[in-house]
Amino acid sequence: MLAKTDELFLFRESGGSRTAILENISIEVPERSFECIMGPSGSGKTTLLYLIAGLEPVSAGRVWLADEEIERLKETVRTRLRRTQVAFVFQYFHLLPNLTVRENIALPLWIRGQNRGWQEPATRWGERLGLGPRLDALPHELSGGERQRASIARAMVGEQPLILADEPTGNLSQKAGAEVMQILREAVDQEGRTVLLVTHNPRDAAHADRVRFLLDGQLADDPVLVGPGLTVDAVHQALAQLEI
Amino acid sequence: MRCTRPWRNWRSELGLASRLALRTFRARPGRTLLAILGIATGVAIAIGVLVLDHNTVEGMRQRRANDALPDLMLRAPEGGATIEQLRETDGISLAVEGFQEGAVLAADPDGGGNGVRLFAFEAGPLGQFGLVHLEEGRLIAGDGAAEVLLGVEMAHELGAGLGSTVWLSRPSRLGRKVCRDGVLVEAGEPVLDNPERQPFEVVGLLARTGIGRNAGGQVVIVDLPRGRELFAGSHPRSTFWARRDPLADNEALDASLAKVAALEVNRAALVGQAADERAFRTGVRVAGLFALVLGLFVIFHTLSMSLTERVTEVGTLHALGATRRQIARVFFTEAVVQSLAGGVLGITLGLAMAKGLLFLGLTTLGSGKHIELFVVPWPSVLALAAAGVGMALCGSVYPLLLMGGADPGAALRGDQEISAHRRSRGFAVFFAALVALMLPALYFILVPSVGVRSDRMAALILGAVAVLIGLVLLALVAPRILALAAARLVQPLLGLWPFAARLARSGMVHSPGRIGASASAIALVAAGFVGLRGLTDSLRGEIDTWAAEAVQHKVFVRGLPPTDFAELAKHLHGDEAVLGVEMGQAQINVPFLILGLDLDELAHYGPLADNPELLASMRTGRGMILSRRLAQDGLYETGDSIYLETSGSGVLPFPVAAVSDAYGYWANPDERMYGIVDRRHLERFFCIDTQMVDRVAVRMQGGEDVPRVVENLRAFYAARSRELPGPWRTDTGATIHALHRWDLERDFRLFDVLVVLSAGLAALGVLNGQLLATLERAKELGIARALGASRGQLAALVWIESGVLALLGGLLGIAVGAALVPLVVTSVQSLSGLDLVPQIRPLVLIQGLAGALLVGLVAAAYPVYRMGRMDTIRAVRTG
Repeated sequence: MLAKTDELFLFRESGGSRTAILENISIEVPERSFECIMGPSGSGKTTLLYLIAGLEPVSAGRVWLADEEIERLKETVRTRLRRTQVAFVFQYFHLLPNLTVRENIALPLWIRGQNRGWQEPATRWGERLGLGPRLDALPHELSGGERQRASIARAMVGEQPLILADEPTGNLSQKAGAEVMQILREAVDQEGRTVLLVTHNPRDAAHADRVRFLLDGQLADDPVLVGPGLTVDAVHQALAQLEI
Repeated sequence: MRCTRPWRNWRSELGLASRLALRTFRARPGRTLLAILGIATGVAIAIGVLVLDHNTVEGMRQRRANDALPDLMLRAPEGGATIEQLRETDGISLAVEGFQEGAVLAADPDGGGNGVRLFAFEAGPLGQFGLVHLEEGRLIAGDGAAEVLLGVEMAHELGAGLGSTVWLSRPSRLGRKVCRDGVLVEAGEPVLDNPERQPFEVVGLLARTGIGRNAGGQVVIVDLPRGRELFAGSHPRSTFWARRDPLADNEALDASLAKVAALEVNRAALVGQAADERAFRTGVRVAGLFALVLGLFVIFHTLSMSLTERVTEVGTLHALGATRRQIARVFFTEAVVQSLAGGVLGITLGLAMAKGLLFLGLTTLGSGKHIELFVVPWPSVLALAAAGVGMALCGSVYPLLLMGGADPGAALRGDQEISAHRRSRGFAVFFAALVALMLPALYFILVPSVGVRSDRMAALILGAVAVLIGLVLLALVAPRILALAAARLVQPLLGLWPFAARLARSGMVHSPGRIGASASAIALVAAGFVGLRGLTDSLRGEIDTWAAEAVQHKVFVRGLPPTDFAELAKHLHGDEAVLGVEMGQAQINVPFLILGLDLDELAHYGPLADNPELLASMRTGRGMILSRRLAQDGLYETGDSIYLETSGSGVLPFPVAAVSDAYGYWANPDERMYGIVDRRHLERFFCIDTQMVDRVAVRMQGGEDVPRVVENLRAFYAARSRELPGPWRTDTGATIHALHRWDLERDFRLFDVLVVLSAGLAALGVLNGQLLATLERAKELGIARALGASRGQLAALVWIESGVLALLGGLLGIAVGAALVPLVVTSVQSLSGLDLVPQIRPLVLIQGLAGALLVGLVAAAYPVYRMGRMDTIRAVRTG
């Protein structure tokens, strides 16, 4: 199991009262799978991704990443684990504005301390994702779709087994969004990566092997949609069943 | 392998840091340049002041160079102070006893001899004075050995070298003349004998510097006991040489010594150490320090502000697996590069500034002094630059700490509200703590040679620290109040520019930290300006008060032919408007300027007219009237005794009879520290001619009437068949008063330069803040554009914010400055001995406010320009 949570809770203090953001979340993310968690805005999807990546501490429960219980790890060790096991694709891309596309793609390699030979993989992944002519451009010179492709190239270049994708099509056109989801699907099928996608878009969810639903911080036991061959209609029906 | 891994890690992590830092600089050249300029300007001003002061003092010292004498020379009266007592005196670090006399030096016991100047001093302590400069050989052993140090040229003339024996004796006739009751006579009975020559071994040759340059190099030095043997029976006059403790309060020390012995001060060793010079130099240096702190404030502000927009960047790096340490290294590398570049640029600009100011004749001892010398005191310059760079780096530590504690999840979500609030509070606390710790330490780097660390100085520094911290803390504890006050100030503009004013108001209410920091930067400069102007006005007031007593109603005439004073005075008194006539040239200069005046002339005005008992005591005794500045500077009070070494009557006490400026001031020399004695004492004890004069000051009743005085003088010389010759010149008290005021204005031009530079720095700080705020609000501005706001309306938003910030900072600054004036004036008063009364003119407050507004509006220009170029719609489109 590449990632796993067991009875996970997250509370936040606000104005003297405690609010549950996530409650009793137990999920498993097998290797080479495309997992999806759907839910409306504010349901805790992004927070769940950050907890799995070890970016935020849990209030209770346990999280495993590559067989390591991350809550037991020191901050530095946890960061190194994330560096080798997890790649991110964000809704707002989060490309560094001062770096060119090629440099943004190479960023995970730099973080690992790779001072030489980073151009080749960065260029290769950039070209593979259709960014060949744009590799020396700055992020603000790209369209939204191009930025997200650069963001995916950055996620691919480090060869981390787990890609956490946070609403990757949220800021894209339908066409660009479809392209991005196709790329993520290929990452699983052709590269052997694992993708954990959070989204509220049924079209995106239909690309997954399994879709679960998060409502007000709680994971619904039913329905759980299982692929392959999921359709957008099936996802819509599930959403209707949950009155989302 | 194990040994190489940490190195590899370090190198690869540095690679990430340097790459990201380099890209940041490349992508934001303007902002990088502004940050570097902030550090550079602060460092440049501080270094400029340091180098300027160093060259001023060294240049002036070289002009007056006299390394042949110690700091202090004393002669005690009979039964007076001993060398042991002198050594135990606070403020004296070294003292030696000895005497100087003419002697005869010969190469052999029977041959002809040469007249030489013999210095017989205790050999051990003398060697520690650093006045004995050897060309070859060693110092005298100091155990009473018959050893001698010889001027190098004289040794060549005699054919003597190291190890040679030379012969010394006292002269057969002691031909010293002394003044007895106004007549120069031979001292004692002439001794006509054949003194015994004594052999001395030459152990060292004196260079033509230090003591060796006395008497044209015809100098010998022997140990004191051997010297006394040579002069046995002739009772040479014993002298004490002393060196000041560098930390001594010079004026207090001189005053205490002058009360027990005749004191001669080596003025060359005291360049820039006179109380008023010290006060001026301290002021200049504090201004330099102030600029440095302001510069650091700017960089702190910039670094802290730039954190906001980079929070997402930090979150992204974190999510991609960068450790906190790696991220910290990225930002630290940026700070190091910026600080070092700022330091190097600061050194360059500082040296250029010092050179330029010297070229313009602006020095730390006043204006109009042209100094050719330009040397760089590199250790101090580098220490100061390092301190500036170090503080700038410290400034980057706080954002790093904050970043370390940042919640990456919140950063990625764009939830920056909490971190911005924490940032502004923490920034202010951190900066205040750093200033409190570093400012006094920096002060002493910047002010290494002032020499006084009295309680007064400590109070001044602590006061300055308190004011600076107070201003910064205001930004800490009351940012909300400041922001609300700023919003209140916008209120009247709502009618005029409804959109821009409303947006500006909401922006200020929601960015209290930025408003507080920017307003504080402007307030610091406004406070500095008002404080400085208050000081200048107080000094001007002091000159007015002094002039009213010392020079008003006087006509000064110089360049007269040698004229009998009594006759001239009698003639001038034929005019009923003439109250008295003061002679100008009867003076001696040890231990300070002492003027001999005719008491009959002084009896009609000033304290001698008001106090008959004083006049009587001056006539019967050796009373001295001290000028106010001398009395304050030397801590003299009525009744104290000042010892003068007379020419023939030994060391005599002259009691202080009164303190007044009513008599004796002369524009040449322009000396306000002097004493007045009855002219008969100068005749009797010093054989100074007080009969003939070439200059007089005429004290008149009811105003200065130059034509009337000139007419009287013409009549006087015409009656003696003599034309009133040229060149001669008259000055009125009013002219001299105006000249002093002009001098003051000129001297303070350096402060004007520093205030302008500091204002530039503050503008840089505000500019940085406004620019970052504009960039931060790109989305908001984009929405406004989308809703139909024109670029002009958005520009008005920045102008309004800057104007209101400046107004707020200006109001705060002039209030603090007005409160600062009494503190500054009191400190300068205690440092300089000047009789100052704090003064604050309303015009200065208006100027301070206007200057603050100007700074704010100038600072807004660039952000407005940048905003004009910004694609705000894109910011909306991309989120």
